[in-house]
Amino acid sequence: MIRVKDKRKFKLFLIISVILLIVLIWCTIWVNITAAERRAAESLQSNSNTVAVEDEDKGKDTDKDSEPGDNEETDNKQEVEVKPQEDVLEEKPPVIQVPEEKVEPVQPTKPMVVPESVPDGEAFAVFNNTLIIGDSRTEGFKLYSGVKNATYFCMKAMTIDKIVEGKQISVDGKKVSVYDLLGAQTYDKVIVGVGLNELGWNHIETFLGHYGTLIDKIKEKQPTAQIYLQAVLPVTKSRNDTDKVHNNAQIYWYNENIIKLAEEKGVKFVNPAAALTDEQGFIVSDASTDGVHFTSAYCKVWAKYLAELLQK
Amino acid sequence: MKKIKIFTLVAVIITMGFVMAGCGKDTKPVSDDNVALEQASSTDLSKYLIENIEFKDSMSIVDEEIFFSLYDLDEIDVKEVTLYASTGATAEEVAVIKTKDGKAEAVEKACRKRIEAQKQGFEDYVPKELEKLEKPVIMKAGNSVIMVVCDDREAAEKLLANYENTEV
Repeated sequence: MIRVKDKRKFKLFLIISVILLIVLIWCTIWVNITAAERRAAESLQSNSNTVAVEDEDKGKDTDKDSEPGDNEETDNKQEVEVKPQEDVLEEKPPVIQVPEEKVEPVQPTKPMVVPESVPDGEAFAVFNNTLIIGDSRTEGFKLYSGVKNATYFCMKAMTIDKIVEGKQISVDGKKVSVYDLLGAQTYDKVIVGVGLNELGWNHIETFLGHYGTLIDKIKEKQPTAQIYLQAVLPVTKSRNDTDKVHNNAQIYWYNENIIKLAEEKGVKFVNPAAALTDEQGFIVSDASTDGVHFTSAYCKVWAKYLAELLQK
Repeated sequence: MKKIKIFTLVAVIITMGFVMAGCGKDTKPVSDDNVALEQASSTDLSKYLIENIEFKDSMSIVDEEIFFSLYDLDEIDVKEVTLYASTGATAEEVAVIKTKDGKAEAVEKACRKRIEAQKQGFEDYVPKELEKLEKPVIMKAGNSVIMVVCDDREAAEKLLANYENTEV
């Protein structure tokens, strides 16, 4: 047992100890909070280098979360599969492109990577010197298709108006717009696959107007490239039946208009849906978890069939 | 009196220890000195995570070349990597990157940039996915950097903490 001789001194000592403890605790907490804030600030600062420009709100309905139910046009689903255009021009021999540095580097540490060409005999050689423009589905294509010899301009939620306005995305650590990529090298082919995120727009004319502008810009910057407008690919039956925006009837209507646009502009329309759909024109159910995006296996199927179509 | 002083000093030291340990919990890596994680191959560890974490989407391996493009990393900084990603329906992702000496921090930073890029992609698309992206697991174990984006961060952390390398 500890014996206290001077109670007054002991009390004083205890009080000082408690105060000291409180101060120490407060200091420790403060040091920890400051360190955490500093780390967060550093993280934010480093991240701000990759963040692309702010989107302008155009007041268009691109919301993917649609209510199930009242889609009165689902009966048209059998018409959805649009026949792929067959009169694709003969292929030019792929030319190995030397990387150019036309794009303004935001982070000058690394040159922009130009994909290496695949030998002529291989299935995906058709994608040599090809720029593929698109949305989240194209992002999946980039990740899983095995087509590594193409250049991609794609991002989730990408829409035609953003592309035309010069929205920048991060490609190999650099912020680039589609125009930067179009000016960076000479392409043999430019494949555009948009429309899915625009299905809910109030006026299809707005979509077609922007699409036409993009085609004109591509022609201007890549006069020798063959331009392909890729069909909006269908959705699964379950998605079709529960989504009043992203359903096959709407997709069919968009594709019909894209075909007309392709004719007007003298470019090709290509539709690889046949390799991904069942007899009713729906994406086969095991090809997608959400009814829209393709699994790794089906991205490969898509790529293989698209390559075949481009070779025709 | 001397005994009281010693007793108080010990009490202060113990309290400080508890306070520092408690406050540091949010900012310190889960386990910076986990030898099993450090020694595990990227293939084994990523497979272990994929098999044991509940993912909503179908997870598939992404080609290395695409990984370097997505994460804006140089091949010379990385010894080996395995990246699993979702179909695009969710933000779920698992990356196990074994870096060259002294590159772990740069790779960790690249992981954080990847998260920010994903946030930007999902915010106008599937905003619900931001919940996952706000609380990713990004940790270093020696020269290994592990990133997991999933619904149950705690489960992922627990799996990593309990990981035992089965390689001989």
